[in-house]
Amino acid sequence: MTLTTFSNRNRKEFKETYSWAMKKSRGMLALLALLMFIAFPMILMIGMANAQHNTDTVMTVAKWAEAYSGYVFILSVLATLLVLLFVLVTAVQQFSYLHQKRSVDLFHSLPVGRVPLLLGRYCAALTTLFVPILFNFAVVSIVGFSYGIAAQFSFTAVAVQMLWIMLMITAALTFSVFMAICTGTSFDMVISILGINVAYPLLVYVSGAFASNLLPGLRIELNLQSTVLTALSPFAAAFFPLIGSDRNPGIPYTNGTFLGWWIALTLILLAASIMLYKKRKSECAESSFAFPIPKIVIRLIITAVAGIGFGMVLQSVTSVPWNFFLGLITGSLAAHIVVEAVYSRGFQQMKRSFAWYGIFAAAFLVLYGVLATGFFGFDTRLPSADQVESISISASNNSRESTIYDDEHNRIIGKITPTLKDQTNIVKVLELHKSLVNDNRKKSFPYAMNGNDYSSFTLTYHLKNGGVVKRSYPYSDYRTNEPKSNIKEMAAQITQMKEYRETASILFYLEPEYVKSIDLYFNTDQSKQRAIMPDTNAKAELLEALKQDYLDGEVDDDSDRVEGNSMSVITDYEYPIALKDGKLKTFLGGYTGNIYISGNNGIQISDGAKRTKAVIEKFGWEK
Amino acid sequence: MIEAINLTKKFGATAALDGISFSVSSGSLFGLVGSNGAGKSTFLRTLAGIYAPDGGEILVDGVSPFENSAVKSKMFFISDYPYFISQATLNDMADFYMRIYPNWSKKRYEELCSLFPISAKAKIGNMSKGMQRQAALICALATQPSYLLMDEIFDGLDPVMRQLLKRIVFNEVSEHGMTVVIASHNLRELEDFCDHIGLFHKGGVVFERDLDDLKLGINKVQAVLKPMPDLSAFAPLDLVKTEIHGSLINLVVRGSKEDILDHINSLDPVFVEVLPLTLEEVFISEMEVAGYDLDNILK
Repeated sequence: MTLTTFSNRNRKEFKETYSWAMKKSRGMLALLALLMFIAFPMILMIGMANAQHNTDTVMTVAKWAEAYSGYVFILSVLATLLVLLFVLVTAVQQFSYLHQKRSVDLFHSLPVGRVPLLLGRYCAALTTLFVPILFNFAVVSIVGFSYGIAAQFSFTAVAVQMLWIMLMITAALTFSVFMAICTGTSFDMVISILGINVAYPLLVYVSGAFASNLLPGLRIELNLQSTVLTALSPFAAAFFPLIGSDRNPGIPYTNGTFLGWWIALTLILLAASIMLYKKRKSECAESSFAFPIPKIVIRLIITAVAGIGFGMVLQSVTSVPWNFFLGLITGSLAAHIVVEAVYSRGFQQMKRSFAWYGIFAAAFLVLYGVLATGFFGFDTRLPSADQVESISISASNNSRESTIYDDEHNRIIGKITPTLKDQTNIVKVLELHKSLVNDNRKKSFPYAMNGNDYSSFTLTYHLKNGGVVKRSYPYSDYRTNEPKSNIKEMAAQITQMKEYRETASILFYLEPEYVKSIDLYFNTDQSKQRAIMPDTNAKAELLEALKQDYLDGEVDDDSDRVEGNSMSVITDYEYPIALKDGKLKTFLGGYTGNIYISGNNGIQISDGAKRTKAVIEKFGWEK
Repeated sequence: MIEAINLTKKFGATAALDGISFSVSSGSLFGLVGSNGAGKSTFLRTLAGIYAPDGGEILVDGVSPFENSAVKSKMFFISDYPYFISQATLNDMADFYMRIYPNWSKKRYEELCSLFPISAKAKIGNMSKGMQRQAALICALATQPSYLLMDEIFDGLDPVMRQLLKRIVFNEVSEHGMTVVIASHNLRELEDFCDHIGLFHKGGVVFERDLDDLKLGINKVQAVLKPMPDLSAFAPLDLVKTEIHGSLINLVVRGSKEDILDHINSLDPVFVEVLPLTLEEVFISEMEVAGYDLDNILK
């Protein structure tokens, strides 16, 4: 609305503010462009120029492309860090006038409306950051073209990377502007920006860990690409997905929700900044806050992070559940006092601020009570067998799952996960699960922090109506020497099911054509290893033997699960793989593009794996 | 014309302006005087559109200046500590204002630069307090404002520069009808400079009057009376202050010189002298009436 009613006068004021702000930002723009050039295109050029010296093989176009994309994606992490630092510097440079009474006297007495003043400086800050990004990414593209690298890499991928960085930079700058308007001094602005960007992801992480620790069946797992983890932290959100990718560092590993959230939040923050700036009192300059809400939120977040975090550490170290509360109280109180003292520059308002601490304490007690009493029946709520279509199982510390990527876009299109569809098995799993739930309730209710930091055993019920019920329990490997527990017993029974084993290993999805070569390692003689390239028939025979021995428990992906482990088989997959009709293609929903397989490709052979050993002997591979 | 109508501005629980009402007519030189914290600077900032009023209104030519670029483009405010953009020279500041003020005159700017002895190419941040005020004044006058608002402008200026400032501003007022509102504690300078005075105290306006009327309307009387009559003999006079030392009486009295003399002569004085008050004496007398005098402070 504000933007659409921009009058001619406002437009002129915006233009003049923008051009003056740009004039003052030329030095900053040039500095960023230079530093970014050194950190990004220059290292890329040096790296590419030396790529030939670093390899014994002839550099083909594919190898140039591989070297190029590797450099681009890693260096873009460095470039993003640099630009994020400049976001903070530029925001302070453009908006610190709000934080000095003298400069407010000047700027607010000018015949320039607050909206054009804000937008003019905001756009100047964006230009200061965008021009170096555009320039340096253009150089990176030109370098790619000059090495004959396909436009798919040198233009499209680079452009996508650049646009992603520009979006996150816009979000980080808008967030900084919002904080500049809410705060009364540049010091408060900077510590608020840093505080929320560090504390919010930590809060999400410790809250997830706390809830998972307290409530049986719940396990909140967050990865660095998670939208929730960085939902209020644009600086972290601009950086985490770059380093969190399990493929190539530098590829922003995000989804539509992540992009949608940041586009929406950026627009909301900009609209809120405009609205608040129009209401902002000039006399707030040099006081702590113009609008106290960020201070309240930041103090609450830091109090919660320190309290819950310290409580969990204390409880984990001592293994005494009630020490959690000791840590919670001391950690949260200390954090509250420190944050209040920093924001208020002293202790004068400390007494009054404890009302907010009381609100935190009350909110936490309610949350603890709800979780400790089963979160409204979450702990016991299971579907009935006739509602369930399938159950997928994940035992994370035993997980050796293989991941299938589409070769064109490097996207995950499937994960080999143990899945039960047989109704008898579903009924049996539900019985075991109900027994576990009842045991948990009998043992300790209301629940207390259990202090376990194990991996989890997860049962995911896929319902016929499209719904999903997921329950996870702390779990360590069921064959360790630790005392038996009800979860271990349940896991042991489930993982012995034939359907589980047939769906747990990539072995059961492989066609002979997908295997390029096989390496054999003889564990009895470390020096003995053989690399072989069998024909299709031999590969088919070996795969069949491995499957049968796997079902008998004599072959496994995990060496801990086979006894008398005498040999390992490493399968080297084709790259890329053209799918043929079979179990893997069906599993991938009839996918027709090329794929590649990532993950565990080692198979452990026990002394009792007669069929496999027979095939190896038949073809004389052990000699 | 500037009109303050029941204007209120609060900082927390403190009312810096507590429902003040008065007007400043166009083309006048209006001096704001008052005790520390009386609300003079707050009034100027509200008038300049920096502060939004918390109550009542302030109007410039019938329009509120807050968030009103059209009004602000006719106005220039020089604060008590003028702010200049970091590392800026006078020429940089001129470039800045030139983009924003529609009436900016490059010719006038160059004329003013030649009048004031400061370098347009030197960084203002390195200049003395007085030179910074000169720089602010050059920029202000080059925007050719209809309303010039100045807070403690004389502070730091040497006597020659003060005279130069006054002369230039007088010319602007007489030739272009510029309205000037100036807040200062330097009453001696205001006395020569302003035609109207507003006295502020604790967020209120004690009075607002033409300076000549003000000075002519209040007089200092020294008389020797033998014997000294009872104080009730002076009751018909509008007494502001009375001091008796034996047969010597010192009075500060509101009213015309002639009326005061007539009354004192009727008491058959040995000696009588009626003198006009300086602005500073008027200020002290009026502030005493308002309870702001040394005796009260030291109590």
